[in-house]
Amino acid sequence: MTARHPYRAGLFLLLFIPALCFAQGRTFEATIREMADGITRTIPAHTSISLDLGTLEASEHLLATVRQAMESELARRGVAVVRKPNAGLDVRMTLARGLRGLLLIAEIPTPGTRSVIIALLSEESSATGRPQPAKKVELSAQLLIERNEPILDALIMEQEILVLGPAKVSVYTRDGLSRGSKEIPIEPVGTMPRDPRGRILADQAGAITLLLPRSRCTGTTAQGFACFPSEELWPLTQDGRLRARIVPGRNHFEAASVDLRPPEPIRSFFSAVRVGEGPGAILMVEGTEGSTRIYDAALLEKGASSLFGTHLTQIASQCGPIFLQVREEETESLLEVIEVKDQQPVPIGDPVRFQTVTAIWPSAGTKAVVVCRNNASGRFALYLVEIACAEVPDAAAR
Amino acid sequence: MRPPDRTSSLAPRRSGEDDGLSGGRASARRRASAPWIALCGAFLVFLFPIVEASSRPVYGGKLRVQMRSTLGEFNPAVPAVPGDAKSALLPLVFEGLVGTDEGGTVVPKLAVEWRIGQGGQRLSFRLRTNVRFHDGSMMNEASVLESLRTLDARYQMEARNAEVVFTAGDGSAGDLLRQLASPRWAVTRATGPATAAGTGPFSLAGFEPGKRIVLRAFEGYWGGRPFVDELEIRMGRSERDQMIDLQLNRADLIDIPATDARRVGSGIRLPVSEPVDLIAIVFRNRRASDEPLVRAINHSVDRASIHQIIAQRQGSPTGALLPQWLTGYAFLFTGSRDLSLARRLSSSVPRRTGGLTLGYPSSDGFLKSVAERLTLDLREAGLEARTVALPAPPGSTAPDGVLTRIRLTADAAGSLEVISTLLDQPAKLPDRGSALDNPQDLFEGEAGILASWRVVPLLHLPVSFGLSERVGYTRLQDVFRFGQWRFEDIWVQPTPATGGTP
Repeated sequence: MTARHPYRAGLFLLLFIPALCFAQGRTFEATIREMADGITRTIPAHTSISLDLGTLEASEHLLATVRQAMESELARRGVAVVRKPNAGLDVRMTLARGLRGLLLIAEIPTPGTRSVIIALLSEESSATGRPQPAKKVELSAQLLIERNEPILDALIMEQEILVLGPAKVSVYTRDGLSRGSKEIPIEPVGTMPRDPRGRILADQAGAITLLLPRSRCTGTTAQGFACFPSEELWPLTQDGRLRARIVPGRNHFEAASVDLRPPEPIRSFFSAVRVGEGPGAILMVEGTEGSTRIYDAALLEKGASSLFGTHLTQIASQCGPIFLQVREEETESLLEVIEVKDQQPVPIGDPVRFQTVTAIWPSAGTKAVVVCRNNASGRFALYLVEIACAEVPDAAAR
Repeated sequence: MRPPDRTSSLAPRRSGEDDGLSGGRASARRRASAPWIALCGAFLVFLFPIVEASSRPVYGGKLRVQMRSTLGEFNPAVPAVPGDAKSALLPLVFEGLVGTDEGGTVVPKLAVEWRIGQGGQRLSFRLRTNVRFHDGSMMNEASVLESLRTLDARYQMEARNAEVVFTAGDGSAGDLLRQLASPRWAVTRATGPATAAGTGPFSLAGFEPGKRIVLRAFEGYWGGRPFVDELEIRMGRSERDQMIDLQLNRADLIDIPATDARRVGSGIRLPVSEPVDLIAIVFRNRRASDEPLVRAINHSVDRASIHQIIAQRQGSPTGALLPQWLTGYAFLFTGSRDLSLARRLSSSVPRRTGGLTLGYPSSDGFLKSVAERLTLDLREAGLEARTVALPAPPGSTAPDGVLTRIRLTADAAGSLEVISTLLDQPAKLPDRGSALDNPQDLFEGEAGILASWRVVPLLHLPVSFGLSERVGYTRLQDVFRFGQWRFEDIWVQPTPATGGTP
């Protein structure tokens, strides 16, 4: 495979060094060490080198870190790194990104040849888009868990977090992020929808119920869960006074029940909130057609509005009836606290920015769990959102 | 070993004291040194956020797709060219025991796990439960055996302990795992003399060769029913007709050549994939003595001008087979022009009567333009050349080189395999499993193919789609990043609601 090149003096042939086994799981330091070994093996003994380090993709900070680490490792192997005019060899090193990750590439000229060493360089994974701190402390979000598997709902307990996924319940301790200590597989009835939704609920005795399309699963994290066919209504509020029936194999609901009354059929919807009490109460549902429909206390449709966002969620609060909704922007989801006045949304306070929100469910007290997906990495993040009512401006002043 | 004249001129940003520059000059060099990559990256970054859709998936409706390609048959048993329209569409209907993800990793499909035993002689699969064929029958070990038994006589198949077991006497069972991801090894159930049911997210509801495919959502799909109820694909539609239909709301998704993307009117959503098409001159029939000629052609080509003018700055010029976004090392293979070197090389090549011939597929206007431009570049290097539309008339001599468009996938080693097969050039290719973790192997495999001088890479081009306002998807990169057609993950929005208060 050698190609002669009679026309240009000083050009190099590529000489491949025996493949180095750089795996993605290898640490940054190990990769640097092995790359330094490779360079040391390739250059003639007692040769000083210059290190021309460049990057196509990585940050200047990483570049500096690599330079420092590489110079240190080469020095340990007796290879002097000097300025270019004084070097016996000019080694070019490049940080470049491929689909599999960041590559560290060394091009080493040797007489009549050029050797290339390529290695995958591990780097810190970038964090999912954390919400920016709100300007006012009305809505706060705490990142609890990040992981690759979808998160449908979560139960926040004192010591643990139980996370419901499409095929398992994961138990996380609360002393750190992403530390799953136990996983309990579940076998829901039938196939899961492409965009699955689910709920995880606990009663006061500690028994846990999982609600999934077509299934109800009961049990404990110690003994596992048994699933049965079920069309049970799902609670949409923490007090369970508003419930809805999900359509099997879909991601939307088709019937709602208020105050434990028998469910009434309602055109398909994704989420719903109840505004007010008694005969004047209204039900607002996020319809699958893109508008928010308004129903009276008898669940008769009264109109629609296009001014609401998505993921309407009722949150218990000390400062009157307030709700969460999501507004989609080009690349972000804005989580807003709203009041409903004259059947229209009135945002209060500043929104919190997330990447794409995939689920919101009310949690204990004045909290809600919010799941979002990082559009770049595809990872899912679980946040605990809390509304600090004391900071909400005086309602009378608005 | 690699020929020297493919080494990089696409210099990366350099930092530190050794670059011989200081302060602002060094910074300027860093900024300006990788223009192609910067251009490509900027374009993708610019387009992607605009079309990012993130609203909640909606079930139902019909997705109306149009494409330029045509399919004469839709049979998984008939081999397809990786990357072509048939390869992209078959997995919507037919699935195998395993598949590959966008990165080329083997992933479970109809089998949930597998293991290789007995020194590579045995490959065992445990099947997924509750999988149904489109005709409603259950998939089980017997139906898998029935479907796959005749495909390759080298492997003995049997059902054993609720597993499907393949045995190969020559220890090649491990290689079979990759083959099984091909649509050709889909698990099907015969429903008639010439019809078969698959297990994929859609069932085939209608097929008019060369004109139309209708797919219907399969309610019982193990991976979750697709969002849309029906998928209608109209084939053989010209770019102009597709654009008109999109604008008149008669189509939801059309394929637009990336090179036409800038000519598309505003208001059209236009996701652009990574550059997945390799444009190259392929010299399948070259003789050993032709090497200086091919090298002269390589150095005479003005890739930057082709990229800027003909490709409308889409994608990037390249001297590599696999693109930079995929491997990370493509910049090591230069694509720069060296006219003086090209002239020296061409002067050593015996003149041919009638000059060189460069073929191009008559159906590909872009490749025709590139071929015509190449004749000018070659003339500057002292090489006379003319273009030939292909297929050429019967009896005519095969062209020296053929302008070729090769669809690559995110499976880097698999893409090298496709190129190697196309060149009829057995190359030392990395094992696909090892290549995932060892870029050195991949680099050596690619360098080996280039060193054969049977191919001169020119450009990497993206593919693009035009979308109507109705089309929704979760993450753009899941659906469009690699030019794939994951129609099961696309939904159509109902007509947007109008009005404010009730």
